[in-house]
Amino acid sequence: MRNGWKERLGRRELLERALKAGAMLGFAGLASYALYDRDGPQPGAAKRETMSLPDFSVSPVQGKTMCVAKGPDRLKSLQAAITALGGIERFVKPGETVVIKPNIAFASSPDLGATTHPDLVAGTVALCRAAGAARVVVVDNPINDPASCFYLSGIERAARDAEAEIVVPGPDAFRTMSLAGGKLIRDWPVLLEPLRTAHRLIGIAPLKSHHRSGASMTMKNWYGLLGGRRNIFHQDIHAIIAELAMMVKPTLVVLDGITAMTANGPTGGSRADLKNMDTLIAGCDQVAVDAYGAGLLGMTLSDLPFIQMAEAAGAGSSDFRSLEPLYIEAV
Amino acid sequence: MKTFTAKNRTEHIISIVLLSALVFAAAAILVRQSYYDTGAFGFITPGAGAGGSGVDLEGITPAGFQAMLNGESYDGETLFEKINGKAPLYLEAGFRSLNTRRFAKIGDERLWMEVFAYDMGDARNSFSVFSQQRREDARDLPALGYAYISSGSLFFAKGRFYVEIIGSAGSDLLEAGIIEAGTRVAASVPDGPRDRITELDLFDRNLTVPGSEKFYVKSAFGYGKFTNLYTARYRAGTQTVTVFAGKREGQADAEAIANGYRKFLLGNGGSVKKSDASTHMAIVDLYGTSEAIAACGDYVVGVHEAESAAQAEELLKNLLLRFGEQAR
Repeated sequence: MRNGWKERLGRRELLERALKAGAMLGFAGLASYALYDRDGPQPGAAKRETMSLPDFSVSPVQGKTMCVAKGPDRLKSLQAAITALGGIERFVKPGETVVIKPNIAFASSPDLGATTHPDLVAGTVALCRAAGAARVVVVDNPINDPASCFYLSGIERAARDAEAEIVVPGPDAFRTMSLAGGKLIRDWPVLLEPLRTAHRLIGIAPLKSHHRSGASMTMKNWYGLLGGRRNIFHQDIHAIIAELAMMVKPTLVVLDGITAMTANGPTGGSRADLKNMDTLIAGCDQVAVDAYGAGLLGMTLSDLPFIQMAEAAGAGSSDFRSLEPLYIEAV
Repeated sequence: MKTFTAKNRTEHIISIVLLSALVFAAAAILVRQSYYDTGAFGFITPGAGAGGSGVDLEGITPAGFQAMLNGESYDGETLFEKINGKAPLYLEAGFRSLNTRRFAKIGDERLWMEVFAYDMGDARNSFSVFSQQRREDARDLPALGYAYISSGSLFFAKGRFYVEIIGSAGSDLLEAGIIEAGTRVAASVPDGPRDRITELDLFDRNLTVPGSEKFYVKSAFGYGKFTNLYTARYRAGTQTVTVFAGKREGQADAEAIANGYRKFLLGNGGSVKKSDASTHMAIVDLYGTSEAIAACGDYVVGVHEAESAAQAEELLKNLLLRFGEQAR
């Protein structure tokens, strides 16, 4: 019997053993390389296919891109702003399907201003209905439990009373998509299904301070179209907002600054976090609308890098004055 | 005794190389696994008891109210799914877990409250998030310690817990229920010997605006090395100005932080108006406001956004006098 410790190896045997060991290591390395999954496991909810969002924008009309309505009444301000921009008929045609995307991120009372005010949702649905829309769908993918968010925010009741459909998205509502030119939205689940058959998309966002991004306005509102473990995007919050603006080409956006959350956003928690600004902005250029909203919060463009990033990506203009916005009183 | 020949030395070396390669591979796997975020792949279900130990919210139902839905629990991986963009404020201050529960007024579902009980690890951390969110209309509730009511919602820090009880609407009935629930939560948290933030006593009571004190665990004024920093608003004539102080690990550390902050200010467009190497003092003009910084024993002290260099220097002298006594 051979005793491996005491025997002296011959040169040939040593080389044979070294070659065998090397071959095994090499095989193991090649196998690891071949089997290595560079992307890691993906969120399971979405089907893996690459798609893009439809373009919902309307043709520009000189001097009717953005309207700032002043007044304490949300409905009056909304109606006056839409009328000033050419009327709801410019944005919604008879027989069309309209998707309304409010901010319903939190299971929060409408009094706290953390979510889109239900009166604005109801008012927008009513305008779409008046224009002859065949379907009006209200949808969001909230941060908190969706059913609680829709119910406690008052939006479920407001939308139903106005005869809109509510879509609380399930896993089938998401599709994996990559944004052309995007660095963050790549193979990511997006709330695409309700939008595939829609003709128009209207975003309605409350004006809020935001601990992470500085402000939450119309572009940040599209965060509610993302699925999966989207909180990882908070590490690069300005870039993700800019990419959302690249991804979504809305028909119209509405920024509610009638009562703005100026502190402790995005959740707030006290009515002391709110300030009456009596201002509602509606427009076709989401970058311009947010640039105006920044001023209401006492911020500059340098405080909110996502605005200029979105502009650089071609999502709109931060120089809202160049769009000759309409300023109206809605009293 | 075994003797090594040239051949078995070669064999020995090859063995060591192979074993080293295996150890290196094992170490690399361990390092990568330590960064593995299970939450990123959906393996953690939010609101499913992830929070671990915390305040028991089962027994705090106020009279005339009833629990709505089930309670929720969140940990560091899932906190974003409750408070989204505000989560970093808590995570950077030592957040451990969050338990929440809603209660509705019996017979009037429009009146409801949600209790948020954040376990922040210790009393300073809970005071940090409490103080940084203080509302302008705060009405203090000394019976609950560091506590105030704001527009019908209750906010307080008790021991390692920071508690918010948010009301759905302005209502005296709801506010009474909120205070009752808050009192029960506070009673369930035992008093600790370090619950009182004694560091606040270092600020001049005669100058301090009541309730203006704040504590920053990390990155005060955007400067990454400003950790464990206390601030307060001092009255200065008709204005109020922010002053700050933080105890460092020693005099050398305090001096290094003072010098580092001065460089930080200069790197962001500031210019030195006055300096004194003996106290590592500097008055820096920054876009029309004045910053002051100095080291004083183990403390770093300063003034933030004063109206003028003279005002910053005067307040800094006050701080140096006060903290100089402490340093002795």
